[in-house]
Amino acid sequence: MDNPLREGLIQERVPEPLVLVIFGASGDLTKRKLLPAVYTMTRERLLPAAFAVVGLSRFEWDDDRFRAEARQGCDTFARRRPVDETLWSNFGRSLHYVAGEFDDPEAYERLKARLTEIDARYGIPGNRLFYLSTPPSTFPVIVERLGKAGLVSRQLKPWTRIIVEKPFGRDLGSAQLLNRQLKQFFREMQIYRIDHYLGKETVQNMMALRFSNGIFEPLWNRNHVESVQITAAEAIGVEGRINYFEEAGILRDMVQNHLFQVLCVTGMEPPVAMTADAVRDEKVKLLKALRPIPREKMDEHVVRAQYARGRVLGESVPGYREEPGGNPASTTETYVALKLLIDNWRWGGVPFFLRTAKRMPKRVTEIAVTFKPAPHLMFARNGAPPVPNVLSIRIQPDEGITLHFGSKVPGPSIDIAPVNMEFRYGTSFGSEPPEAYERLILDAMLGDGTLFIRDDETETSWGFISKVHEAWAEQRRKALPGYPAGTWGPPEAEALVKEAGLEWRKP
Amino acid sequence: MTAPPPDQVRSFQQARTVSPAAVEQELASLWRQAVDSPGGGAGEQVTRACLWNLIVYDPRPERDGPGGPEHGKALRTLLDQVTVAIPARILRLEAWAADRAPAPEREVEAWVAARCLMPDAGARQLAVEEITYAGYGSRGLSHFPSLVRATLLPDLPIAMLWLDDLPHEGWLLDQLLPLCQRVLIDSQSVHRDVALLAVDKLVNSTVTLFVDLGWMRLTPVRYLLAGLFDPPGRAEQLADLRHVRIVTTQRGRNAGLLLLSWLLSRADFRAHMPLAPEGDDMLYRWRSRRGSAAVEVEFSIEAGEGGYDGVILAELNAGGDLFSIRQVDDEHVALHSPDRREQKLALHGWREPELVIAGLGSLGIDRFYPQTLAVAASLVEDTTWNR
Repeated sequence: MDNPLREGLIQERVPEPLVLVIFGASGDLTKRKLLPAVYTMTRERLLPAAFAVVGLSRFEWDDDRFRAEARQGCDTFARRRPVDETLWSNFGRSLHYVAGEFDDPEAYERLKARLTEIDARYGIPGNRLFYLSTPPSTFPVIVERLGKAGLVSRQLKPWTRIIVEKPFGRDLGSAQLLNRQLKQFFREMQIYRIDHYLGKETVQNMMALRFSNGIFEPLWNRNHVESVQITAAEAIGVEGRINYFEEAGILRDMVQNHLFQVLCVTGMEPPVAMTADAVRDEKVKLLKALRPIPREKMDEHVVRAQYARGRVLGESVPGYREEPGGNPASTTETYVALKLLIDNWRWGGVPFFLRTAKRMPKRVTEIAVTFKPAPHLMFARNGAPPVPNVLSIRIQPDEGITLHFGSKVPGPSIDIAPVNMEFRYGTSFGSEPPEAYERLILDAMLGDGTLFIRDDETETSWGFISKVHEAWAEQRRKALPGYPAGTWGPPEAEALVKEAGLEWRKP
Repeated sequence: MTAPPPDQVRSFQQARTVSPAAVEQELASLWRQAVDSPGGGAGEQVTRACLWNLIVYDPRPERDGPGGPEHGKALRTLLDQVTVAIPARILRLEAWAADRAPAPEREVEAWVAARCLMPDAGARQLAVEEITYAGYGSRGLSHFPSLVRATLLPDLPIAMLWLDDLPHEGWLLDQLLPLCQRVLIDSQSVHRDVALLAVDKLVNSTVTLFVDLGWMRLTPVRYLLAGLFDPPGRAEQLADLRHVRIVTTQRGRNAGLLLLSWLLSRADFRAHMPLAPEGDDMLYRWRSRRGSAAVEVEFSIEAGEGGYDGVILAELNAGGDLFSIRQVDDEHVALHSPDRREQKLALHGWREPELVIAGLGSLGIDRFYPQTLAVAASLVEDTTWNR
């Protein structure tokens, strides 16, 4: 029976009583994101009264040490600060810790015993949410050990769910293998592949913008859109993650997941409902419509590069190969730009340019939709080019939407000047948007997979990306273009857009 | 939801007196000054943001010190915080006594002002235009509706913040209500529960949405009470509600009645029979019925301030178990249920600006408020009738 007192409250549903089990409890993500998110959700009364967290990692910590680390994380990173002492006295007590290696069967027996004890103490009916905040190489063994320890149930009640952090595989083959490994013990509906970009308000607002307004969707097609640019630029370098990044490269790290998700919400057809499968069906359809890039034409569609030393935001920074622990002969890309074509009726012939890089002039993520010019330019003076109409959706920072258009300059002659019409989240809605992890963890607790990635989505996107990697593998001897840190990328990337008569935006 | 600190708001132009007929021209002039003034030069943006027309009816502007520097300070702080979060064109309607007019023939005056949020990056953001109309005496007030109609921004929703006692019939209200999509009132602004009858009548006689800040103030308590019935099997016990006890302060009288009415209506108790109160502290006693089931209800008033919302205790016997929320101090409550030891929790109540911000947002649309208010009105009406 639903709780009648819940009706009408902003959170009409709270998750059923559960234990959140975090693998990798001593890690950075747990401290910076996961526990602060859970604390804030508790603060905002979004969680059930019967709720506990169990952290597991190889460090020989006890409950008190885990709580102290959690407190430090919340003091520094929680959205609602300072931490409420009264609340913390209850919340802190609900944090528990089990020490153990991920491949040690005895650790899972200890975990099982601890969960049984916590269930009895809090009145939790056995619901479990496992969060794998661990290196991808550990996913298979954790899943197998959980399954063999009898900690996974395929039943609906009590339920078991698992959140898997990216990277979800490193190519199509490994993604398929991981899916098979997960499905030995979990059903697809129990698996929540997380991409925190989908938890961002602005990415969700893209769907709201497109599907709750009548004015945009009629223009959102090949008849009116000239091109789309999606940029995810970072000013930082590899920040101590050189080993990971050297293996991954930015194509794996950013494009296969984040940028493709942004591409999907920008280009997909309207789903029949805002339900998990309806939305994900449309995303998969879009990914399947991406035109394969012939291997011999890869350079015409994909440009990769690596940053050299330069200046970013007024500071001198080393080149990628000079980063601490870096490989002086590295050919790992820190910049990638792609020209994609979508073979469907909506987008036939419209180029989608995707670009992401480290060490760009600033941190910015945006989607820019450039519309076709007016068919007859009767105000063009002295051959001045028309002002392009651009709808730009800024995802971070300073989230908002800007429409760029031409307007008459006051005066006796008709001169057209570009102007912006701006909507900014910060000034239009005073309320602070939740952190992406708050939204996503809560959704997983509630069993809503809409903002998570389905198995066929990840395999389709890897299918496309793996083809690029295969082509690059054949070009091993080819020199990798460079770009000075603090610039918008290599000259080679300009050619990618120039062919379409465009330039890269400088957002 | 967090209201921004008021010190982020800067006035780039002092309010100045203008002719009511010239208000729009004066605002356009302020815009130009905002661009031209020092610090607002080339390269810096001045952007107007506006989500609402917000009419603020203030029948007692003198209360903050007539004419002096403190005039309207509390309201000023409230509006600064609200409009930084929800940019709005504010139309302040101040009702002054006729003898406060600067000249005998002066019936109404207007001021315009614009203030902006100073974001961290240094870029300037104009967030608020404010028009103040001062009406002197009843003749001055008679100008308000036409002035409001002339200065509303088109294509934006209209809300009215009603700072008077709970509204009832009246000429000004009749004129302004049809303009508004929302009216924000505060059932805790008066300590007479019969005022709820008038509000219930108004709510039922208009399509305008009434947002009761007193009701919204109860949201944290409602969350906590609801949470007691989340564990498996507890919601079912609400069907076997046997006894309810509410204790409030005088200030929390209407809040307590609304909380009680919400509990009864959510548990589907529709018929209420007043009984004689027992003891000196007890103000009301009812027996409420749902079919053959009955629940005994006690409502008491205690002396004191009563913290955040004036509700000191809400106690339910459901299915033979006791569930309660009890005020510990101004900011904390203690929860009790069969599922946990008594637990002290911070209430995290909303401050006034946060209440208004929430009331202008989606939280202001609460489908359970009218039915809760109807139950409260019927409880009060029956009791009053039988007294």
